[in-house]
Parts: sequence; C-alpha cells; structure tokens
Amino acid sequence: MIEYIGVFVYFLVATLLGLIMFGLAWKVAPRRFDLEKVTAYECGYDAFGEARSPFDVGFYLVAILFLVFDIEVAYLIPWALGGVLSGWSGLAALLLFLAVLVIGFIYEWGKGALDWN
Amino acid sequence: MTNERRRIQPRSMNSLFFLFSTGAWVSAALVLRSKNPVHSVFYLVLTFLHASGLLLLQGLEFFALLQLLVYIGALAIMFLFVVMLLDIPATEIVAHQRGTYPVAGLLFLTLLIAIFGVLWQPMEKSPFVTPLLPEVASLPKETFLETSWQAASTAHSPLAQLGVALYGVHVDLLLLASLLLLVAMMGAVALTLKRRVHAPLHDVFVQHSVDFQKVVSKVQA
Repeated sequence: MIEYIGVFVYFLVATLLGLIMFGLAWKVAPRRFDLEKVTAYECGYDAFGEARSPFDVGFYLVAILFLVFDIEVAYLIPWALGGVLSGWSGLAALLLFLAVLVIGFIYEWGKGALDWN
Repeated sequence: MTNERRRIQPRSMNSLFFLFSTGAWVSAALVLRSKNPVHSVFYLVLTFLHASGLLLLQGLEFFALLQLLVYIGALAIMFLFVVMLLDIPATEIVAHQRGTYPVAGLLFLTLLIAIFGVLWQPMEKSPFVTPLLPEVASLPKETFLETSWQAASTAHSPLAQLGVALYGVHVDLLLLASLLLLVAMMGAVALTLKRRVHAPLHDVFVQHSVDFQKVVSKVQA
C-alpha cells in the first residue's frame, strides 16, 4: 500500500494547515471572560428552557433511506467491475438482488414516504 | 499478494499502523469521556477515520473508501440526528434513575461473546459453498478452489474479484443482505412516517397548465 503515501501526506498537510489556523487564532484573540457574554440572552430574563426548536422526524427518515440505498449502491459497485465475469448466473443474482430492493422502493413510494419534500 | 509487494514494504508501514491503531483507541476513549454528546459523535467520526486508515494499510482500498462513505457519511449523521432528537438533560436524569448496570452488563456480555468468537473460530468450512460460476461448475470442488481464484487474482483487480466472489460463490449472502435492506426500509417507514392529513392531493401538472387569463373574470361592472 505504499502507493497511497501521497494521500497520507496530503492528509497530514491539510491537518497541519487546519491546526495552524486554529492555533494562531486562539493565540491572538483576546479572552476576557464575562458572565454576561457567556450566558444566553432572552430579553434580559434568565433562560426559560432549552434553545432547541421541535425537530421534524421526516429528516431522519430521509437519512435512513439514504443509508439503505447507499449500501445498495455499495453492493452494486463490485458488479460493475466483476459482474460480467460471473456469467448468466451472476446476472440472475443481480436481478434478484435488485428485485427485492425494488419491492421495498415501491412500498415506500406507495406509502408516501418520499412525498413531503 | 506477490513476493515483490511484500518485499518493498518499508518500516513506515509499522509506524503508520501504530499511529492509526493508537489514534483509534484514543478517539474511542474520548467518545466515552466527553460530556457533550455532539462532541462524542465528532470523536466517533475520528475513530471511523482511523479505522479507514487501518483498512487502507491492509490493502483493502474499496473498504477503506466504503467506510468513509457509509460509516461517516451515513451512520455518523444518523447518530447526530438521534443526538439532536433527544432532550439530553431529561434523558440523563432518567438514565440515572433507571440505572445503567443492566444495559452495561448486557453490553459487557456481548463483548465477551465477541472476544470468544474472535479467538475460537467455530466453523472452518461454511455449509453454504455454492459454486455457481458456469465455467467451473462441472469441475470437482478442489480444482475450483485452487485454480480459478489464482487465475483471477493475477488477471483482474481486487474489486473485480470481489464482484466474482459476491455474485458467484457467496450469492446467498448477497440475497440475505438484500432482504436485510428490505426489512430496514420497511421498518424505517413504519416507525417514522407521520399520519398523513386527509388533504386534497393536487396534480402539479394540471395546476401548471391552467391558463391564468381565464382564472379571474369580471362578474359585474
């Protein structure tokens, strides 16, 4: 794996650059702590509760569906290079794999999981 | 791997392995240590990056990139979603009330089973050997295992060999994986889909093709 040494050097240089930027900014910026600066501002009152707003769970569904289809693509990538070598039985395997996932996709589409965006 | 590739591995491989493995367990320890759960997810991403580096050192480039794509790109994002959805101070209080020993005990048991499984391999031969490659299906099993893979390893890239293996010999695992993904999709939809309000569904195409000049008409002067 010595041919990927360039990638490693690239990562090192990028990390070093990031650390230099952060480090210099941290050194140079003034740091005078004051209680009023650190606490939350709610028109002069103390904070009533957490500052979070309600979260729509549809975003989470989108993330899960992305994960599932991402893994499906990850299974399809080896086919792209070695699938032809595995002959007609390999093609049948691919079609079965895709058929099962297409059934799931039709279920989602029918249920309206892809709709609200 | 041929002998040439094994010969030119320099000593930096060892130090890289030490670097990545040390970084991996240090990041994992920081995941447990940090009080802020978002910081924990960040350190988890760092752990995944180190694991990806370890996979690259093993010669598994496809899996190193797949780790970055799937683990960091999807799994860590889902962890982040869960952290955002939870109300952390209340969750912490409830966790203290209910106690952590049952869950910790269960996970420790799982860890013991995993370590046991690593040290003692229960099955050397899988019962699922299914040689589906058409050009070798007529050959006896020993020649299949000896010759075809050697020819494939010198002629094609490792990813092509993975394709031949996944869609040939181990196709049962592939179909099991597709069923697992199907279950995951249906489970996600069943758990998180909101009840749709019975609102009238508009056909967007019909809406767009309405002639706007005929929409408003004068009734009385």
